[in-house]
Amino acid sequence: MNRMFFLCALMVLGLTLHAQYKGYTPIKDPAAFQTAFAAAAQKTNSFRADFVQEKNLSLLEEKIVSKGKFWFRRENLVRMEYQQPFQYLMIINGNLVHIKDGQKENTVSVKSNRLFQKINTITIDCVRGTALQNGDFQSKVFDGQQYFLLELVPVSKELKDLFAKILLYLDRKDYSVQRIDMVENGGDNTLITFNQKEVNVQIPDAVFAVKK
Amino acid sequence: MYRSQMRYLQLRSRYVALWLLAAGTLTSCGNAYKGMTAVAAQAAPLESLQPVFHSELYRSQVDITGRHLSGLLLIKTMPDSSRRVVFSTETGFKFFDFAFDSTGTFSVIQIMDKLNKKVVISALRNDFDLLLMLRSKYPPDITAMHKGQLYRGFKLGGKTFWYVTPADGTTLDHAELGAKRKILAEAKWFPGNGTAPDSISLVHHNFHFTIDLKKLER
Repeated sequence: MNRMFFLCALMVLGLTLHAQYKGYTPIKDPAAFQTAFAAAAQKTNSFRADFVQEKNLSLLEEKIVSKGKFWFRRENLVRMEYQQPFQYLMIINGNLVHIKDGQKENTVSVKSNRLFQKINTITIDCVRGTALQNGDFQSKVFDGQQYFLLELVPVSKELKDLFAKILLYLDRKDYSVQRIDMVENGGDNTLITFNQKEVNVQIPDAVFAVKK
Repeated sequence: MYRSQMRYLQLRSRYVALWLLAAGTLTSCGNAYKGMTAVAAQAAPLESLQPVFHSELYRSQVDITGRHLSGLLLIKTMPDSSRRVVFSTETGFKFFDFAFDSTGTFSVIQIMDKLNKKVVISALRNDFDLLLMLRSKYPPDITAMHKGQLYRGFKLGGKTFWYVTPADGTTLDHAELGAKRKILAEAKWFPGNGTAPDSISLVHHNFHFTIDLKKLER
């Protein structure tokens, strides 16, 4: 009887784990994954892709979709250019952030704010492949047919206020980021999906140039 | 990128909060409503001029005392006839999510900490109340002629929501949020007669704060 109960409990637990992320199971060898992921990350010097951003407002049953182009170059150069259905450009170049919104342009410094530092680190980590080393999150890794799934749950209150969790989908082939899903506490989420990815391509300085 | 977004969010919310606070102390001269004459209502119903929002997404440009902010504003009518107003950055961070139920009762579904101040919420509530014409289904508290136009007013505290039309009331010219002697804010819709506007502008007169909304095709 006890044995039957134990087996049933195992089955329920197994189903629960599987149900957490459909099509994904906890990775069997986290250490091996971490080593391979870190090795791949070391080789990622630049990243260029098209992106689709979906802002899902769950209670409103609304989806706001925007599209654009994304560039990243080590260590901390990012260009995110929204092209549809509106024009919006953001460039991060070290401590400077340049925004172009229609005809208006603005460059600001983003120094000395602990929360901003953390959020910036998360973003760069997601693209650069160093997310598991970020101490601001508890992480779990799941194995799927096409992608690895990294679940990043914030530890500090300041980050918990912003995200319930961040889900990072990595291509099994090269560990490059495929999707970033930022899940809010109320159930809304922002999903960024990268397409037409190119890793370690030459990206000129001009792409990240900001007007000071 | 999220570091920069948060920096922008903080700057944006800080300026909005500061200047909305300052607005309460600023004054201007003259009486904008001098010569207004009460008349009996003989015009087309105001409700027929109310803008209709099914689920419209607007690109938002906000200028506040020399600072320029931008974002996305979603205005949606829910199945229960309540209306939701959600403002977020282009990159997805929400500034606020407001609801007006079918009777116009306002509630805050969500607002970011930096904006979560009574004076800020009150100002934004008035702005959207004015823009959505939530009071238009009720009889106005005041009907008056002023400078050749028909003013229909709905009182809330010490303020009045004015909807301004020609004398026959068939087209909406603009709306005003007024204090006893001053115009506090002015709103316009293009087009503004019972449809989802392609663009909306709101100009505050007591301090430099303008909101321009342009509908996005999705």
